[in-house]
Amino acid sequence: MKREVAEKDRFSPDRDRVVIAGSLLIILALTFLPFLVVRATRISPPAGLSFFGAVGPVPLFGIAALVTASVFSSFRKDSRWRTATSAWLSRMLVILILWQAGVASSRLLGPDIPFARISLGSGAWLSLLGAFTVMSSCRSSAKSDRVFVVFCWGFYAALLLLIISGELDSLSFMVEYSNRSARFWKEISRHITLSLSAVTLGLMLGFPLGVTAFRRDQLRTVILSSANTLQTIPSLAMFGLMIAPLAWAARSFPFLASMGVGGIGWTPALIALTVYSLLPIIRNTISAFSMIDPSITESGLGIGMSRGQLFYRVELPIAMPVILTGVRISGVQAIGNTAVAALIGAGGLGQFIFQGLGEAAPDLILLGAIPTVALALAADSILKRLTEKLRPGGNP
Amino acid sequence: MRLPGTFPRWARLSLLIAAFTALLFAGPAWEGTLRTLFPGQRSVIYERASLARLAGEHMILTGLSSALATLLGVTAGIIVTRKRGRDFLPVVDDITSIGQTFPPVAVLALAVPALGFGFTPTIFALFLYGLMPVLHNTVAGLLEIQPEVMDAAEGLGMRPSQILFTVELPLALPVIMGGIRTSAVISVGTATIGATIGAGGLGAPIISGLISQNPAVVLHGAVPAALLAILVDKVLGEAEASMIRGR
Repeated sequence: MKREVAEKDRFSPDRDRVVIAGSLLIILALTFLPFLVVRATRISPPAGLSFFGAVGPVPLFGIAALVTASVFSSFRKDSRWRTATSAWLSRMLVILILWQAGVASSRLLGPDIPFARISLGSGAWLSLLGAFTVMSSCRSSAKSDRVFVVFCWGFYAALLLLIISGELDSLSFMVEYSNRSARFWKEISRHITLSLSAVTLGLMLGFPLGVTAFRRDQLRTVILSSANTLQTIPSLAMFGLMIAPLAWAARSFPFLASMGVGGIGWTPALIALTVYSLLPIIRNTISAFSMIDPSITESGLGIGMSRGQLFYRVELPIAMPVILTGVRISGVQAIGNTAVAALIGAGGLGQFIFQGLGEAAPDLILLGAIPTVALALAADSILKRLTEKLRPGGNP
Repeated sequence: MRLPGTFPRWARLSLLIAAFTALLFAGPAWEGTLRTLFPGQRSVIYERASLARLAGEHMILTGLSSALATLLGVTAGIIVTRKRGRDFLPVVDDITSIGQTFPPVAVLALAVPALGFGFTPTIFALFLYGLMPVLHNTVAGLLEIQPEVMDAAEGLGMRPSQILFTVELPLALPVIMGGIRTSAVISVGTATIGATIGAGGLGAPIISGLISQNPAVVLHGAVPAALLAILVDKVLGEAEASMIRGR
């Protein structure tokens, strides 16, 4: 609410300084920092390669033209025009930078250096950050524009096409993927299964706990503070604390062991991840029900609804968006913590991260870390959309 | 709000701190307890460094990175809420909300290809990740202030810097403190994983115990790590609560 007020009387200059800053970042990063990093083998020391040295004059000219255009457009008075061009240019830049990195690396990867690894250097990453800066300068004003939405999907399609087409296959990250593509898909589905089950269990436990805490004042403090304390415990420590009791349980009750319960593996991971997802769900359930205007429940009772009807048909739909926000926070958190669970043998994308750390192989680390980040971002945006749709009065 | 028959908060906190410190220096007690619990294991404690030393490393890692994150996060939050920096507010908003979606372990792992192994990349990763909640809450706290309050301050003829230090920051302080608390607690947790990239700290016994399949050694690190995180949360929560009370 207050934020909107602040946005409205935002100081609006006749030029977009954010776009200028983003464009400058792209230029500086591509001029002074290594665009690609070449290593003779998977674990040998890196050598940087400048943008010009990597891509040659033509793409250099293309990117320079795009950046110049974006700087010029940022001086235009018409803000709608400014928004449209920077939205367009920044996405073109992202595609172009990635594509050129792919093209350059497949040219570099010749027969004389067959085991070489070529990855994006700091210059490439920072120029992508610059493009992102330009992109987000126009986000808030363009969000409602239909053309812009179509354009956004076009951008994702182009990105996907770039990956599928094989243009990026010489980049080390993709090399690492193609060396273990079968295992990659196995680990990623394991990762998703584990985090999804944890959040589902967390919702099944957390929702009733939240409702109980909302209805009984004496229990609220106990439930909230214990969930809070559990949430505070570092994930690695939590996994560690689970090992001994579960190993003991598996030893003492053979039928548990035959079900696959043990000190390491999926059991401690699932329990710990479920415990972590409790707090956001409980907290949001409580605040969702506390926000309901008592006059609404009273009028429900007034028209002769039973307690149960009132709960399922009035209170729950109103509370849903806030509860879902809790589910979103839990989900994002669970995806991150599942990566840590690889340390106790639960599998998932963390396998690649920690194996990569163990072998000092940066590409393998990326193969685990980048999809983990992508999963978290995807879960976040999907659940955000769902929340928006369910918001009473929101567009269905 | 003090219930009859309970300790005042500060007394409970200092008791907790004292108990934690005692735990760090109680080597023989650890060995005895873990030996009784795990009679089958040959070694039951982490022998490469003392618990006190590991806890010290852990506190330096998180303390240093949190201090840096606080300093930079609050400064940046102030800049983007000034008239001249307002243009950058949406970008900062975007970056903090996306940044907080990044899993901490991924940030830590990504620091390795960029900066290598050890203490410094861990501090850098912790700092970068810790920046997000501080920046987010600073911006939120400063924007939450009622426009009437600002108008009144301006009407009194206060200079912008005076308004910032005597009106805005004191009013936003509890929210900012909440961000610092979140940041520090995450930092304690992430620093535990820092042991996998050679940063030491209380994660070291956990990792070492996991590798050697020795649950006793895992507990030797996991229990103090969990207690440290709870302690940091309680102490900073107390600071936050006292700021809200003092408002």
